[in-house]
Amino acid sequence: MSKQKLADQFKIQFVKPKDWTCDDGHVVAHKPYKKYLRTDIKDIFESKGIVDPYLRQREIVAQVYPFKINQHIIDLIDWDHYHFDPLFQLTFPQPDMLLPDELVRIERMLDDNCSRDQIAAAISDLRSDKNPAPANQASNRPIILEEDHSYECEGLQHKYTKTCLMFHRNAQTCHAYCTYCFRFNQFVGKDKFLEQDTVNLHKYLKQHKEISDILITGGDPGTMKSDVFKDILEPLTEPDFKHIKNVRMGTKALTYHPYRFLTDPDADSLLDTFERFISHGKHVSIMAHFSHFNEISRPTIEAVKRLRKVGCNIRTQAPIMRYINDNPLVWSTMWERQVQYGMIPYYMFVARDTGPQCYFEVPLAKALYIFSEARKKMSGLSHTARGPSMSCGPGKVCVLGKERVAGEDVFIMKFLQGRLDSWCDRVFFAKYDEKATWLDQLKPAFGEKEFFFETEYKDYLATKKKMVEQCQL
Amino acid sequence: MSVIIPLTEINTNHTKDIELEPELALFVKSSKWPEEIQALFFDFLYSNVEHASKLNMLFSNTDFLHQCIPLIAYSELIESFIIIYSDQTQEPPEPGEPGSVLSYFRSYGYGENVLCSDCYGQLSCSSCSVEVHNGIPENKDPRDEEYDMLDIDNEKPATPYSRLSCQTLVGKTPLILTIRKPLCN
Repeated sequence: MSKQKLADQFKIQFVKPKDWTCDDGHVVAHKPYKKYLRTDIKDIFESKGIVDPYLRQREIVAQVYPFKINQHIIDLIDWDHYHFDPLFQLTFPQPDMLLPDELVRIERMLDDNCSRDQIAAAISDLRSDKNPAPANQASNRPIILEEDHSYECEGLQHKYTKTCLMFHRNAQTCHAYCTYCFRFNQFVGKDKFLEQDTVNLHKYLKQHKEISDILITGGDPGTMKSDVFKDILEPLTEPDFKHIKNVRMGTKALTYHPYRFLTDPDADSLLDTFERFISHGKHVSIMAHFSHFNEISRPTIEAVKRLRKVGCNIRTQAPIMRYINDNPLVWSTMWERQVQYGMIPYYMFVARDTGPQCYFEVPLAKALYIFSEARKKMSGLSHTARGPSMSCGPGKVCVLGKERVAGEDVFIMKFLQGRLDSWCDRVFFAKYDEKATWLDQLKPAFGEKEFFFETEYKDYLATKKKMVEQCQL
Repeated sequence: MSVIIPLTEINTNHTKDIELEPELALFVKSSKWPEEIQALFFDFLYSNVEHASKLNMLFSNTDFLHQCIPLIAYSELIESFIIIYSDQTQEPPEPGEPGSVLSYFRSYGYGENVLCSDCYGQLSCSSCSVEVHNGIPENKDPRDEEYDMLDIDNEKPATPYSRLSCQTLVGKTPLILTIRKPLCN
C-alpha cells in the first residue's frame, strides 16, 4: 500500500458549521467562538496598533475581576476612540475599577517578583473586600424535604414565590464577562452556585406547586449545549409539572455571541428544543441583557428574529452604569430599537453594591432622571421597562419618583417583588438623598426609625438560618 | 478513527501476536503511567494486531505524524484506554482552543462520560483536566489563566503533569494522557 493510502485511513470528515442566510439573502458568516483572556489584552491592543498607557493597570484589574472577551465584541468596539467606547468600558478592565492603593499594592508585589501564590493570595483578599456575595443570595437556596434527610440545594434559588432560579454546572461562564458583573466570584471558583444535573430542580418543582416560572441563569445558560436544555425542559412537559408555565433564560448571548442561535453546531437543535417546549403550551422568555444600542448588530437582529419565529419572547434588561449607558438617549435609542425588532424592554437595574461599584455606580437620583427622560422620548410601546430597580436582599425595589411631601423631599419607593409576598407592590418613602446609590444608604422619611420591612426581613433571615442548621445536623 | 478499550476486555493471557516498534515501546515505557497501566496497555497491543500495527506505523515513520498524531489516553473514571488517531490535516471545529485535546475527543465522538468539560472548553473551569504523561503539546507551558483554573481544582488537585485538555494543543508528537478520576468518585 502506498504511503498516501496508509495515511488516508486516518482521515475523518469533521462537521463544519454552516453560515446563516437571512430572509433578504444576506449571509451572516459563522464566526467561530474565539475567546481572549487577561494575558491577551496586550496582543489585542497591539493588533489594533494601540500603545495603551494603562496596560499594566488593566492587567492587574483583570486579575481581580475576571476578563474574557471574544472576537465578535472586539469587532464592535470603535478602536479609534476606545477610551470612550461603551462596549470597551463594558468588557475591558479599567484602572479605576480598583482604588489607587489597591493597584499600587499589587504593582509593588509584581515589581518585587513575589511568587504566584503570594500574588494570588493578595488578589483573593482584594476580592473579599468587594462584597463578593451581594443581596444575601445564599439565603435564597431552597431546602428539599425528604423523609430520611432534608438538604439545601447549592444551585437553586427560590426567593420569590412564583419563580425558581437554576444555576446549572454547564452555565457557569459567559461568552464574555461584563466589567461590572456582580457574580465575579463565581467565575474564579469561589462562590459556587451550581447544580450538577437537573435532578434537584425537578424534585423541588414537584414539591412546590406554587412555582410557575423557572429562571435558568448562571453565568450564562446561553453557553449550555442543547442537550442540557433538553434535560431541563423535556420533563417539564409531563403532567407532574403542569404548574410550570414559563421558562426564562437569563443570557447575554444575543449580544455577546449571537451565532449561538444561528450558526453554532447545535443552534438548530437548541431552537428545535425551544419550539417543541413551546408547542406544549409553555412560554419561553429570553431575558436578554443589552447594555447599549451599539450591541444591536446584524447577527443579533437575526438571532432575535429566529428566536421569535419559534415562539420565544425576548425581554431586555440591563443595569445603568456610568461610562456605559448613563444617558437618557442611550436608553431611549436602545429601547426603541428593541421594540422595533419585537423585543420587550423589561428592567433598568441599578449597579449592585458589589465589585467595582465605585467606578460604575450612578446615584439613584440620577438613575431616576435618566429613566424618566428616556421614557419621555419614546412611544408607549417602549414604556414596558421598570426601574430603576435594585435587586437587594428584601426584594426588587424600584425608585418610582421624587416628590415633596409634607415639606420633605422624598424618594417614592416601591417593591416590584418582595421576599415576602405581602411586600409586593408596597410603596414606601425614603428621605431624598442626591448621592445615595443603594437601598442601604437611604433613610426612612418622616422621622420613621426603620423601613416597614426591616424587622420582618431580619426575622426571616434568622428563621432561614435555623432551618439550614437543622438540615446540616 | 479511534477506539475505546475497557480494561476488562483486555486479554492478559495472550501470546505476542505482533512485535512492537522500539519507538512505540519506549514511548509507553518512558511515560509517567504507573507500571500496571503500562503493562495493561502492552497486553492490549500484543493481543490487538490492528491497533498495534497502526501505532507501529506511526511511531516508526515520522512522516505519518504530519497527517496523524495518536492520542493515547487512560481514563481512571471508566477504566478504559482510548486511542484517537487525530487527523492533522484539518482542525476539529470545537470546543476549546482549535486543535486542543478536548476538541479532538469531542470531534471523534467522545462525550462527557469519557472526558468531562463543564464550560465547553472556555477555560472557565477545570473539569476537563488531564495529565500529560508523555509527549509534548504544541503549547508546552500553560498560560497564566490555565494555572489559575488548575489551582482551584479541589476534586483533581493539580500535579506537575496537569493540564486542561481544552487548552492543551496537540503538537508534533504523540501524547500519552491520563484522564483522572475526581476525588469525590
